[in-house]
Amino acid sequence: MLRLLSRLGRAIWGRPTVDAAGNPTLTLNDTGAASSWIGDAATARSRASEARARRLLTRLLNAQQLRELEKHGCFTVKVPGRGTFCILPRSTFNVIHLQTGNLYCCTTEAFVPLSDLMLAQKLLLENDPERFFAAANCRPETFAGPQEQLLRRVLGNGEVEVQPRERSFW
Amino acid sequence: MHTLRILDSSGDRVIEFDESEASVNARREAKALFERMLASGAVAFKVNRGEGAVDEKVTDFNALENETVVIPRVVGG
Repeated sequence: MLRLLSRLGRAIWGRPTVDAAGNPTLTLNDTGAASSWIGDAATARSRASEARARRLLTRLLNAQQLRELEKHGCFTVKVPGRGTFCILPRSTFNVIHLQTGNLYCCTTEAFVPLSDLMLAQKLLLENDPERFFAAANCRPETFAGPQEQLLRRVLGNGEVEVQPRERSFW
Repeated sequence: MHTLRILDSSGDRVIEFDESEASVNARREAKALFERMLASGAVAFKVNRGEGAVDEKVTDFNALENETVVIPRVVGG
């Protein structure tokens, strides 16, 4: 049934096409629809964008950040006078201050793939932190869940004392 | 050769140019785009500078080095 639906979808919306470099090309199907926004073609386009962004990110991280990314899926950035921040692979409130656990959300106005967002945050924190903090929204440590607390312990290099909190129903 | 890399939904858009006559148009396009992006709140950083030089914010097109990443304007999420 799924195969039949998939075949029907391709018949209607057209197959995704890619260029020699593996990037999806912009095509119109027989009905004149912009097929790269639909179904398999949209997925392929999104994956290609993220793969391109990931290649750029990994090329511009320093050796320690690259090791952290490969091991934990996130990496840390040191900001003089402010401490160490971890950039998580998600699109909102993805920058955590390891010393306090505060979460920051600062994103690009134009949509970019997740790895590009992580690169943008790294470059801003390392080279123009005032711009980052002027724009970012901040949520206190109490919003950080158990996964964020675990990262603080693992990546905090002993600077972090995370007290286990009793969880209660509100 | 200079590379201007503008982050966008496809990952990034690249414009390559140098001082030669052959790349006059590319250089003009890169300069116009760079200045328009920065005027709209984007920020640019010199990256991949070689010999251990750290990344650096840049606002002057004439100061671009090997590779520059332009980040669209950032907002609180």
